[in-house]
Parts: sequence; C-alpha cells; structure tokens
Amino acid sequence: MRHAIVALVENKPGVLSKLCGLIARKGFNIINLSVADTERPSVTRISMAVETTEPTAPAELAQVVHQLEKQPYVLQVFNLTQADPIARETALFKIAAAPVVRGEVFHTCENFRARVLEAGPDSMVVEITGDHQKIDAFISAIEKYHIIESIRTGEVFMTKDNHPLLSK
Amino acid sequence: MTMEKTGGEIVVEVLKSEGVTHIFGYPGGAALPLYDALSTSDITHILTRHEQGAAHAADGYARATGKVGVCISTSGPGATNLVTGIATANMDSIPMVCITCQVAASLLGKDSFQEADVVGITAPITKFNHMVQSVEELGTVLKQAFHIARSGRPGPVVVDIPKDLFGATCDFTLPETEEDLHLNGYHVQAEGNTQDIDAVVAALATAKRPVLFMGGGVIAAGAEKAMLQVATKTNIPVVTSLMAISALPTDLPNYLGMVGMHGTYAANMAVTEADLLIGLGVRFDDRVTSVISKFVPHGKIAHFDIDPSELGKNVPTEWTVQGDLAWSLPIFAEKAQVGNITPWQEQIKNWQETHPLPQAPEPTEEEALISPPAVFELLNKIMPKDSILVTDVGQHQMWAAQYAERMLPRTFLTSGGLGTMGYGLPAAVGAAIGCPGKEVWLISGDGSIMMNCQELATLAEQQLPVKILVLNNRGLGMVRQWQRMFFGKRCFGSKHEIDTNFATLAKAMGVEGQRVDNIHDLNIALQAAAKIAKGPMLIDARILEEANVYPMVAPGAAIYEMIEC
Repeated sequence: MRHAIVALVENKPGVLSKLCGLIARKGFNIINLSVADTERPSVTRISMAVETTEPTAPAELAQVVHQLEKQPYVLQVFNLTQADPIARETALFKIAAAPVVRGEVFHTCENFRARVLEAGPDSMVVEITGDHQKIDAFISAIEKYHIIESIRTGEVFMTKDNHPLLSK
Repeated sequence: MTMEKTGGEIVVEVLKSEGVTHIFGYPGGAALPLYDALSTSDITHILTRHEQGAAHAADGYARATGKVGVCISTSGPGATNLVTGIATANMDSIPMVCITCQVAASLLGKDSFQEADVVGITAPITKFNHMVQSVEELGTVLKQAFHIARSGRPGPVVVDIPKDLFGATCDFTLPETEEDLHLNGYHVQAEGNTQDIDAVVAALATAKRPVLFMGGGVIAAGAEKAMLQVATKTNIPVVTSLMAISALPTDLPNYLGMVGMHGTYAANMAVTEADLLIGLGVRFDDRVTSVISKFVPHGKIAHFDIDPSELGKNVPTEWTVQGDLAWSLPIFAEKAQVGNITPWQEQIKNWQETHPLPQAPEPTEEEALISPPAVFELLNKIMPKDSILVTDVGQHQMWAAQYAERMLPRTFLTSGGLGTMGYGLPAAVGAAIGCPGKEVWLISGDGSIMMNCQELATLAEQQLPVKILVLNNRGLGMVRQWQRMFFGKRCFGSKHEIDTNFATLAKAMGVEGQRVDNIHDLNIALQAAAKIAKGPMLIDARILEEANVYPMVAPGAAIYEMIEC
C-alpha cells in the first residue's frame, strides 16, 4: 500500500535528515520525497510517498507518524492516504524520437496532455504533470520509443477542503 | 536585561539559570574557551577519567536527584566517547544535557583535526540535538535543551557548539518564559482525557484478576505517592519493570517484584493469568513480554503513558490513557475500586509460597565460596534505608533486581534498556555528587567494573562515600549462563584467564580495597565498609563461578515457561 505522508516542519538545518533517518530506522522505504517552502516563511513542507507491504505495516506507520511528531522542530505530520488528497508530480522525459515516429509521439503526448518543451532533430524533451498512476501510464505508452533519460519530482499532496493543513 | 556577552559567558549564565551546580566533563582543544569561561563561575566541574564516565555520571546524577544531569566534552573523540552514555540515557528516558564542543565553524566539513559529525551520530539516540549556528541563538538553544530534556518524557539532548562561538559576542537576554524558547513544534500533553481514566476504572471494577504493572515512568513523573496510594488502597498485585524498582517499597505485601526474563514466578504467573493488566509508564520491552502472543493471553491491557508513540507500540491495548502520570495516577488512585479479588490474591500468595526466589544455602565449611543470594542477605542488613544502590549489567544486576530491598524512590539505579556494562561506577559517582550525605553502594561484576574502572581515580579524588562490591566470578557470568544453558555448554570467549585483583587495582588509584573469598570474610568486610563514613572503598568478592540467575525465561519462550533452580 502506498501512503501519502506530509510533514510540516520548522525551516531549520538538519530537520530533513532526522525525519528520513527515523523512517529508515523503522524499516520503511521512502518512494519519493519533496521538500519546499510554504505560504508561511518559517515553515517547510515535506511530502513523501511511503510503500508498505506487510498487513501490520499501516499500524506501524502510524507509530512512525507519532515518532516524527515528537521531534521538536516538527510542527505536524499527517498520513493523508485516507483523506483522498489531490496528488501531483511532474516528470520530464527525454525521448529518442526519430522523424518517422515523431508524429506518434506527439499524438501520445497530446492524449496525456504532456507538453513538448524541446524538439531536436532526433530527440525531444517532454513534461507531464499528474498523479503517479497517470505518469506510470504515460511511461507505458512511450516505453516502445527509447527513453534516453527520465526524472520525476515525486508526488505532493493537497486536501480538497477549505482549511490549511497546519492548524497551529 | 540585555547585555553584551561572549558565547562562553552565555553558556555559564544559562547553566546557572537552570540551577546547575555540578557538571561532569573532560576538556580538550575545542572545549578550552568554554572551560575558561567556567573557571570563573561557581559551577563545580568534576573531571572524570573518560568522557563515557562523564556521560554516565551525569545520568546517575539525574536518576538520583530527578534533576537534569549535565556533561561536557571536547569535539571529535570527546564527543564520540559520550555516545554510549547518551544512548543509555535515551533508552531509559533520563534527562541530560550534553554540551559537545565542535571545531570552529570555518573548519566544519573539512575533516579538520578532531572533527566529527556529532549531530549526525547522536540523532538516533537523543530526544533532541542541534548544532548551534550563531552566538545569537546559543542561549535560546541551550534553554530549549534543558526544557526538552526534562519535560514530557525526559531524555538526553545534545547541543553541539563550534569553538569560535564561545569567543563571539552578542547582546544577550536570558529567555525567561516558554514562549521565549520559540519551540513551536514541541508540545507536551500532560493532561489527557479523564474519560479515558474512567474507562479503566470501570474495567477494574469488574476485573477478577487485575495486575498493576509499573515502569520507569512512575519515577520519571514523580508519581510514586499516587502509585503507593493505588497499591495500598486496592491491594491489587503489583509487578515492576527493572526501571521502576524502588518506586514502591519492596516490602509492600502486594508487591510481587520484577516481571519478565528474570522475573519472580509469582509476577510472571500473575501477568499470565491476569484478566486486566494496567501498565503505568511502561513500554512493554521484549525483556518483559518475551513472546507477545503469549503475554497476558487471558486478559486485556490498559496502558497509561505520557508518550503517544508508546501507546500500542509493542502490545495490543484495549484502553489507553495518554498523559503525565503525575496527572493521571492521582485521579486513578482516587477513583479506583476493585470487586472481590480475594481468590486471586490467594492464588498469588500460593505462587509466592510454592515458588520463592532461590535462597542462600546454610553456610558450611565446604561451601565457603559465596552464593549470590547470601550476598544480598548481608547487603540488605547493612545498607541504610536511604542509601542508593547502583548496579552494572549482568548477573549481579539481575540478582540485585530480585533480592535488594529498597524503600525509597530513586534508590535503585541501573542501565535497563541499553544494558550498558560499565555504567555502574561512573553513575555511582554522579549519584554521590548529587546526593551528598547519602551512602552509595555499587554492585558490579568483574566484567562490568573493568569497563570504566578508570573512574576509581575520580572517586578517590572526590572522596565520595561510594562502596563497591565486585561479585567476581572470573568471567562474563551472564554470557556464560547463556552458553551453559542454550549453547551446549560451549563457554567460548567468556572466561577471564587472568585473575585481576580489583582490590589492588583500587589501591593503585587511591581507593581502599579488600579481597574476600568466603561468606564469613565478606560479612566482616561489609560490616567494616558500613562503618566507613567518608570516602570510597572496594570489596572484590570471589563468588561461585557457575551460579545462574533463576528463574529464567529462555529466549523464544513465554514468560510462564520459566526455568527454575
């Protein structure tokens, strides 16, 4: 199962490494991680997707969330998985697109609302935004062309209600 | 009042504002500017002979007094030598502030002389740690350190200070209030929901076989009075973790002693047959529970703890009460009522009578070598009621936990969670510094005492009233017990082929020492030791080499499957 974890932390040196260290020590694998500023200057938002396989893992992950919240520079931690948040990540692909297949690639990009950022004589760079399933699907669609390089930012999450996540 | 101060002066001012009178430390290059600032203060510095000793001494000071223990080291090896002591305090939730000096900021990250990533190294073994970034934040970070160390579930905090900050200056105002600390992410929820307590009270009223299980949290919260009130008012059988020994007088009629791997038969059976186990400031450590599925197999568990991350961590719980025991336990004591538990009490009495702890054999000429239960028979007679008993780690520690009579809180100090051999001697130094006028007894083994024996010199220098009894079985007793019991008697790598004379070693460091090898001489030596009012002494007592700690729960067995003598 994939979990959407969001930690709001004070913008202080070393906080990120402490959080990641704690999660790693508890035996969880962080699939992706994104760290960035928020609407509050002193607050940093850490978004991560954590994969669990064991049936007991969600309870253990709840433990980890408690452990993270104990850290003095951590303001609040949420497991948003059940809240069905909006999830988005951006990915860039450098695709080997020879002139003969270029039309096909363009067509696929259009279907996925991916944007072509660069088009060279035999390669192109494409940008796509969506949840991780959409990006997985896009990869499946373009796999038959040679993907020279790809990069994903990792998902960030936002709830659909009208409140800020950080209550304090 | 705002005044221009150097970093060194700020450290001293914060320490004074926190009521620190004694610090344990070991200087070195990066620490020299701080030592210079301390030299003109009225804070007493205890020079240990190893940084590990300083950390354990600060820990022992904290356990004996309930105050925050403070230790100081230089950068690099000084700081890394503290690590075992910090981890020990972390596992047992002991409030400590460790000031590690760091190389100058301009040298950071360059593999400079005596540079180590102390914040990285100590992150997993501290409640909080931080490298100070500027002289402006120094005072606030240090005040945060004390607040975090002592509040909520206590623990060690490391403050890493680059050397150049001690000489840097800034306008300094001492943070006075919690708000001044700007700890936006740190909240202690001391008071939980009283309805949660009511739920446990209701469960208790109908329980037929209730058991109270107290842990170190009772002592950390200073809730011993409420604990005694619950125990005496309800007469529910009480079992203890290693960490809570001395929280209740050990002669309380419904006190069954320690539960777990070396728990008493009655304690382990009571937990096994209980229909309601109420855990108070415990963390259900594996040395207590053994096989989780066979722990409280016939009952439900209620768990009181201040740390939300402990609730449901190790055992499934039916009821949880989050909050400080200083809040919850008095309310619980007030409301708690029990139904008819007489048959249960009779059952427990029967277990106690039919399965007592192994007793000392009648001394005969032939059996001159000392048996462990006999040692504690003697010790219990001569240790004053308010004396502090410190142990090291191993067989002697378990015998002490089983046999020692303790009447007052904070009079049994031992490394529980981490099980740190070498803890005892420096912790005894700290306890003696923290509690002047009290006698401190250290029970150690020939393995453990060697691990920090350099602190005998500290003891001699400080002339502390610490009486050391080394139970010398010429090897690593607990390791050998396991090898005899579970590894086909292959006692490999666990024998001391050289018979170290610890009495002579003590004398070399300025501590009176004596060696005894039979119970008669031990008795005389202990009587003499009891009469020494001032200064340390050491008795090296040769005990039976193959004595085992019983009962014992084998690894992988349930706690009711005890190996008995």
